[in-house]
Amino acid sequence: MIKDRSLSSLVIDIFVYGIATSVFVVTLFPFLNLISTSISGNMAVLTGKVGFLPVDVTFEAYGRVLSNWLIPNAFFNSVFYTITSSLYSVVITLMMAYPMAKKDFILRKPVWYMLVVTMYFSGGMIPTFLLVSEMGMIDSWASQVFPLAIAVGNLILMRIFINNVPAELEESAKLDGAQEVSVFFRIILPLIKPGIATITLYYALWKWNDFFNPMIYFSTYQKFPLTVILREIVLQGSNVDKFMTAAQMAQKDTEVFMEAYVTRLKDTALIVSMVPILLVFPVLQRYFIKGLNEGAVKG
Amino acid sequence: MDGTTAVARAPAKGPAGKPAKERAKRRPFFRTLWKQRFLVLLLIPGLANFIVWHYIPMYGVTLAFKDYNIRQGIFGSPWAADLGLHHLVSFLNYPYFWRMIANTVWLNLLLAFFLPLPGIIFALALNEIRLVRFKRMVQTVSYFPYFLSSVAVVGIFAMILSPSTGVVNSIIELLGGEPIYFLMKAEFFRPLMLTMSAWQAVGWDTIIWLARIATIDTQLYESATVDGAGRLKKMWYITLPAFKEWYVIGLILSFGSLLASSGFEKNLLLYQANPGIVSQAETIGIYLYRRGLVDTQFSYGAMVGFANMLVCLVMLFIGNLVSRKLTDEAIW
Repeated sequence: MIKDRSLSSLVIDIFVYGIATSVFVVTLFPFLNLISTSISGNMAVLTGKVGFLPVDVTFEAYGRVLSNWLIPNAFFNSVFYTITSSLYSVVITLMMAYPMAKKDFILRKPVWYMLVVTMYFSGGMIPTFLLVSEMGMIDSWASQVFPLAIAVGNLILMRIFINNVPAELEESAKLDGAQEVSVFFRIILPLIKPGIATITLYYALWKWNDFFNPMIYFSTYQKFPLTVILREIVLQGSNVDKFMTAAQMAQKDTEVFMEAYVTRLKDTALIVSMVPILLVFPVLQRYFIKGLNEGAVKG
Repeated sequence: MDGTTAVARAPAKGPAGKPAKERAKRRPFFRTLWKQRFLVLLLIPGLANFIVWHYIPMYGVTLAFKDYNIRQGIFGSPWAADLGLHHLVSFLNYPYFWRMIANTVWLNLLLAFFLPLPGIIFALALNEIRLVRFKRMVQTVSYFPYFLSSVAVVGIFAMILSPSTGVVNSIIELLGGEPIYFLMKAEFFRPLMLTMSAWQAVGWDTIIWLARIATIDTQLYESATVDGAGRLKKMWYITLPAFKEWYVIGLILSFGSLLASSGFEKNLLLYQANPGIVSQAETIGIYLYRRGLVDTQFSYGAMVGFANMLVCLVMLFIGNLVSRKLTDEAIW
């Protein structure tokens, strides 16, 4: 491309870089502000001095939040529900996607229609809830694993990954006398590993971030995942007390700085809950983009 | 024993018309099924999942016309009064019925039309940026909010918008204004929903729009350059029109997902945190949750859910029809 050095081009460049920079700042600012607030002094928070950078740095709130069982316990619950449910979902999605990817599979069409129907018609919130309850899954990890374990979108994506395996490989294996079973396990499976990884991450993020289902199915506090606990702390304002010492509790209503302190505790809880996603973010985004490209180009 | 052999033999003896043909038609189906038994075996768990968790609840929609009680369950509960239409009648008589419908349609129209726009503008900008490193850094950072839960997103906004300690109100006060209770005022509900969703989606959406740009024939740009078109003209006449098709399809699809839209969790969280904003925040989904699950009026809730699904389907059809007439884009 020929380099355009005209004035209008310069104006466009200013706009373009301006837009990109503002998206960058708007995305980052809330995080920086939250982090800064969580490690700033009460006085600075109350007087609104905290912007991008912390004032009077103290890590006391982190000590309080992490030394309480509430968030670590919810974190391990989330990990448990995420691992069990995504494992189950991936296995049955993969098992279902393989026959559905075979053009000559005799049940392909009827099953496909059956799936499409569920994309437009559904029982809805109440019948699903009642079914889960009649199955005795209320307040149990099973409610996070079994209901609605297959997302049709993920099934279609899995099918695309399977169809990407060159048909010649399968044919030549069959000519060599390989059975359908060994074709699946020894040829297809090893070749669609990246696809399996992508789908696993799709399911895992979905389950990790799910808030509505755990909220309606769990009633015992100790079983709540991170999202539900986080809502209690940050949005409902309950349970923030649990992070305070007895001395702090005693002055809760008289201490002027208590509002700032509560804000810092809430911010700390938010930041702590986002750290796991931040740690896996590089991997997540790479595989998510892969899935998006695969689905958009061929789906 | 004797009888069966006789029956089995009979067709072979008779005129070799019908039975032989029938057999020729039927046997290959079961024979193929047997040959493909490994595939059938793989299919079973997934199929069972769909039957149990999609088709039984679909039958459970009949609860909307029944009086659910725990002892008799989904299959045994008796029919409701007024020929089973009791819950429909009381739903239509809900004093705020039309307010709720209007809230739902408004929120979804706003989200459907405006939510893609920041992503489109950002993608156009990114596409013009030649500093690869800068571009990649901005892009990667902008993806991050997409991976957060709606609880975290609503939580972040609740903190920065807090009237006493939030940074936004500090800035407003610094400029001489009064602190605003953003989360407690009904009139801020829709702008807030739009802002939060846009903040979360703006970066991630660019992937789709940039992928669309990548499919545009580069010859179009070259011949435009030869004809003397500047960068702005090329953006306006070549890049932007390429987005139309996907924008319209996205629009149609989001018409049909009134309840399933990711906005539901955010809507619910904002409503739960401040039920005072009910006049704008009560959409069909919120009402369904409140009456069906919180008040445990299961049959009534099933009716609301059923109505919601019908509204979704109708909207999807209308959206598709209008779009076909106006723009030639349609999903069917």
